[in-house]
Amino acid sequence: MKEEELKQIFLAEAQDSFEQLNRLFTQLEKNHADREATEAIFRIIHTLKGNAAAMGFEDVASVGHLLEDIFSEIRKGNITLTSMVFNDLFKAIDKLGEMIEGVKVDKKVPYKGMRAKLKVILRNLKGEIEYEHTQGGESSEKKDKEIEATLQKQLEEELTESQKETLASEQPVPIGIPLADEFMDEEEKKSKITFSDFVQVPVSKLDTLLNLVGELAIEKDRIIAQGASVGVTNEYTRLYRITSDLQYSVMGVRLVQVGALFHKFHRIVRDVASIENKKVNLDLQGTEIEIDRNVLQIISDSMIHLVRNAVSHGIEGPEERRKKGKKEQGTIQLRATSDKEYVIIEVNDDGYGIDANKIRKKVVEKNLATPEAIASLSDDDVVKFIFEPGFSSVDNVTSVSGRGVGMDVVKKAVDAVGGKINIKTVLGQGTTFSLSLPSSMAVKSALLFIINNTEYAIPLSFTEAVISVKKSSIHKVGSGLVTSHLDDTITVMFLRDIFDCKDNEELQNPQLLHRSFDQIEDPEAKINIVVVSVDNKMIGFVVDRLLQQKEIIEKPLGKPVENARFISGATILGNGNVCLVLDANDISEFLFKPTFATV
Amino acid sequence: MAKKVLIVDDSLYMRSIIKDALEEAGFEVIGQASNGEEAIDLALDSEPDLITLDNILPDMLGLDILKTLKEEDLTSKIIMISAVGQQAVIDEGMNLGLDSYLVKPFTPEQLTEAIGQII
Repeated sequence: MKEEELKQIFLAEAQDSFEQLNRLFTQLEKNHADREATEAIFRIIHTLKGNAAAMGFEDVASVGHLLEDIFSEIRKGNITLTSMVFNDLFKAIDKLGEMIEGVKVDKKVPYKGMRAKLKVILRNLKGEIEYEHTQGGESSEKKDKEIEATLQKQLEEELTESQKETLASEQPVPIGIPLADEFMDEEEKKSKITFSDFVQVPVSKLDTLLNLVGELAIEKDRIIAQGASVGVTNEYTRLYRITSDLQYSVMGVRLVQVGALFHKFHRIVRDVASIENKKVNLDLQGTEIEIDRNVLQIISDSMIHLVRNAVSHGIEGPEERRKKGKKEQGTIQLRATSDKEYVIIEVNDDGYGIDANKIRKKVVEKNLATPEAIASLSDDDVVKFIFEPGFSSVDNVTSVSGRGVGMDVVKKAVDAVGGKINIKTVLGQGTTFSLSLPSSMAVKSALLFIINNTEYAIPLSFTEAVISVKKSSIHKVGSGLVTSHLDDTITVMFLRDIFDCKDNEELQNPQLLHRSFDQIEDPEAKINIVVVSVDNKMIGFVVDRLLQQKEIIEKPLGKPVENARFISGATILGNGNVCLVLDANDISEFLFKPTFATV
Repeated sequence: MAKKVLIVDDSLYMRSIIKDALEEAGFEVIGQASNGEEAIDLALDSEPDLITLDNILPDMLGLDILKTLKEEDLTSKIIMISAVGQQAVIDEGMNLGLDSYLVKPFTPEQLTEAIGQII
């Protein structure tokens, strides 16, 4: 195997070990005597150290080695953990993480200070004060062998049990690398070879695979469309079924459990709670729900932001909680549920809740709305203002959450993956943010329509309804247009108006949005409107003609048009035409800029 | 070129005193560390000509730092500045390769004089 590939595998494993260590440490912190956690930590560090040494990553290996020594003493019962030591060990784990990251990006991380510190910790834990001048490599090697031997024995015991089970239930196909040979007793198990049931694949390979399958699906649509015209539809049924099964299988491979992200929060919650002197319990639900790995990656920073906020601004201090008759320990719950094409992730805290009246005050202070307008809004609508750019509900900036990153950034990330964010809050009882995210980024359902004889698509995640109204029920307001839909007044725009623009200057023309409207003379003329919901606002897009609803594979636009306005990507239709996908967020942003603001 | 110095002490006050004295004497203070971990990383990274070392730090002893730096074959001159006037510590330090030591409290002149002898 190539060096680079080996490195990737090492990194993937090391990253995983690092996360497990974080989780186990959090567990161990709650109960210093937790034997299970101690054993697991010891074993994980031992493996990590061994692998790092084999790869020649001296830094990871040497810090790992000391941690292993410390835990070796702990599990032997020679030393007991104290809370003070704990924070240092946590920092050492952070250092390990930093070094692993350093390996990834080829950056040297200073570690010798940490190594010296760990040596001192080990010495202090043992209660010895001595300065040996030389420390023979021999003795540490010997110790290594000792550890190896005990570990091997333990693992053998565990393995023989589990091996019996797996071997009995299924005979593994004999390809791949024998992984378990190091744990086996040569004499006894020469004849048994086990294989890992998993292979690790770099995400980039999966992306390529998905891309190819996407193109295949498009080609399939094209061939089937051609076939239909010459009357050979039946022959293509199998082709159709197999390609679409293939497509979904490949998409399935990219799915990861949300637990991969959720479990990282044990550490984050613990750290923030400890800085803020709060007691917070983290409850994870639905960790087995699956979601596209890239979606998860894109929203991970937002999740961190939400959880940090929940600890630092949501949950009250223990004293205050007790006075309110709540449990001293606050609870943050992360819950995932799946709903057809969507995964709903909720971040819930049982803390203060958000005071709508405070938000009202702030909105007026920040000039985001007039006092009259804000007074007429319901509490639920008012709370949504926290997603507005330039709004930050925090009164005092703290080291944990006041980083100038507002909720609008969270919202942007969710928008970027075609998701939605919502908030529910009850004053005094807590707040729930709920993120509705597409479970897969590749395929989305979209509505196709025609403007100027060209096909366009808009993802169904934005569309609310399709309506048809008479010209006479659309009215000019300011420089824009409005109509009513289900008792609400909604902004209406003829998409043609912005797509016909030659340049940016023309886009700024305040008469722009009235052009197509003014050209229609018959007040009874039927006008097709796709009602979309963006940023909790409803907008009606006027289209020339509606086509069908269809699953599309959206691809980003290539150079030199990758920054084109109002368009998020493109797809190829069965008839071979390129179909542009509307970026509803961008259009909404454009529409609600001061030049055109209608509401 | 001015000689480069790294100051290691957990007291900001003490670091300021040492810094002033050394800058007065024409040294360039390239870094300050308030604990052992920082000290070792900074020393190995910047390889100063001189390191002033306090013995009692929050995470380890100056002797631990000394030992580590010697193990890493760092050639910087090292002077220990410590209130602990115990002969045992000084002996141990000298055994480990300490270049000089100074007992607090000291005057700027005593400091530059002790350094002048090793640099």
